[in-house]
Amino acid sequence: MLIEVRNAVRKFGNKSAVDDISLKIAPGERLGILGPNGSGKTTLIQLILGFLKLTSGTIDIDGQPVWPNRFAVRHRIGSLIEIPLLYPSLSARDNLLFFARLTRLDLGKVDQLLETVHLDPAEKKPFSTFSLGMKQRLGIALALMNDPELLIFDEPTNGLDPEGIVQVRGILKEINRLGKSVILCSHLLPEVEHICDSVAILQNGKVLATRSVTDLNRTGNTFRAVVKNAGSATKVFSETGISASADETAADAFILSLTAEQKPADSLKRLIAAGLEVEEFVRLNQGLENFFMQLMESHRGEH
Amino acid sequence: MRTGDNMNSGTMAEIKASITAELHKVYRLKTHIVVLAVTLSLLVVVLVIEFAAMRYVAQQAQAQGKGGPANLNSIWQIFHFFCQYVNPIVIALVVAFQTGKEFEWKTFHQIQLKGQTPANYVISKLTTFFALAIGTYILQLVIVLIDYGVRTAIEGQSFDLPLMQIATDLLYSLTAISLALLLTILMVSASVGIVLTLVYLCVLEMIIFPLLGTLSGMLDKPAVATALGYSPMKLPERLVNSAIAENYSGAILVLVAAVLIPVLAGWLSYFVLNRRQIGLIR
Repeated sequence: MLIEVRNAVRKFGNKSAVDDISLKIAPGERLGILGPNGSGKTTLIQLILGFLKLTSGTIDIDGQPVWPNRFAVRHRIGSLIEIPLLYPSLSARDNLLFFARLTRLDLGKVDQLLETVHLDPAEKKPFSTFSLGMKQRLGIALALMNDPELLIFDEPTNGLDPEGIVQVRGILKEINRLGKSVILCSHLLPEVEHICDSVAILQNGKVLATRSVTDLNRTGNTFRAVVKNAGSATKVFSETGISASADETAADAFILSLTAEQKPADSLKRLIAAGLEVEEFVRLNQGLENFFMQLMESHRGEH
Repeated sequence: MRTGDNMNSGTMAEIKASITAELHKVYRLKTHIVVLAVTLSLLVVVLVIEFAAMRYVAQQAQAQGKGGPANLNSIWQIFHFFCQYVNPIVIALVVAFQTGKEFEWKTFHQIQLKGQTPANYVISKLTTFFALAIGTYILQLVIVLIDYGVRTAIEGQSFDLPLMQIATDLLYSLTAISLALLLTILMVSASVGIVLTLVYLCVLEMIIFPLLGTLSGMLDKPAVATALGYSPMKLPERLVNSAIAENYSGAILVLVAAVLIPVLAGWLSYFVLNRRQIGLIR
């Protein structure tokens, strides 16, 4: 695993901003972190970057604990936290050259990086005159600078106009081809859906659910069943080769993933034969947005 | 796992990289041009005025039949004045502005994201601005030496240099830089850093401390005046006075104190940064 977060807790006074979170990110995996404001997304990012200390639990990057190795760990991570804050009087190239010298990188790579994010290396305009979209693209170039294994983007399209969003999203998709691990925090669900392989949904500092984006967008034989006593219902399928897993959006629901050969009617019959009262049995074409909204709805009012 | 030697060489390489990046940044921001343009042009103007004034006084004295050798010590007094007041104020304000702006833009946070440690940050800042101060001092010294050399040749006087004074004059700028850096890091703001630096250098060191010294003399409290004589910006002067009085053990103690001030200020800056970095995100 590239990142392993185990039972991470971070408290501010009596309030837990991150409450017993466990996550794993494999090399090359792209994880989207979603959640309403105050759900603990930024705190989790700060903990991974070593800007905050854990109250309890551990976070390892490639087997190395973030504390006390936070400075060494940061060399292996490229990050863009909202808007990059660079030297306003320096051009894009001079800003990158400063960081290239600081991190002892090949200065020759700077022009190449600027071209990757569609900025002109010959442009002399100071950073202060850049549009927000240009600033974000320069921030992405800076994140890519040390060829990191992990990229962290926190709300990279916040405040951008539609054209800027499309440009930044296009660059993030291009970065996907580099095969790096990515953590993307965003309020924009389509952005996460386009870029990430999986999503973790946070609320009140807890992970409510993790899902693969492919599963959420599956239009084939995925079904959601609501029965009384869902725990025993999943056991009905234990030796049938049918994948049955609990659905975090509701206590009595579970998800069935069938292969092309497996018939939904047979699964329904099995449930009834087991004496379970089936309240609902529907084919899913959920999508991230529906899943997120259902999850938020089912946990509304929880603290 | 890195061995001790590898770790040391890695740390040294990181410090060197931080200093190189900072020096290049100052070069690209043209900070050195601003500092040199202000301090050197002011010095040249003052030296020209001094030359004109000395010539006028000499002509007046000759007209009255009171001609005598010109007092060229005033050239060294001007250099001493620049080292004691003008250079520290100009360079300290540049330090406060540049360092403070970095915090206002939260650029330090960006630098931290790239793995630079607070210690490297402070070391690179101090080294860069010390280099700037030493460069200014050397260029001013060259100008003054040329002026003094030409004037002694014209006047037919001996070329005697106040070496002790010249050597210790460099300490004023180094002390002011360290204090300006510390004040700005404490306040995390360019504008507040500039105001505090000005208050310290111009109000406390130039007005309040001397006033308190005078008052304590009048009130027969010599201990207060003695204590005020050890304020950071007074140490170089005290060092020269001790050396001139051939009190060498006293001079060494004052020298140690003068060197300790930048070291302490640098350490305190590091300590503050190390604790403050967390708050810099948003």
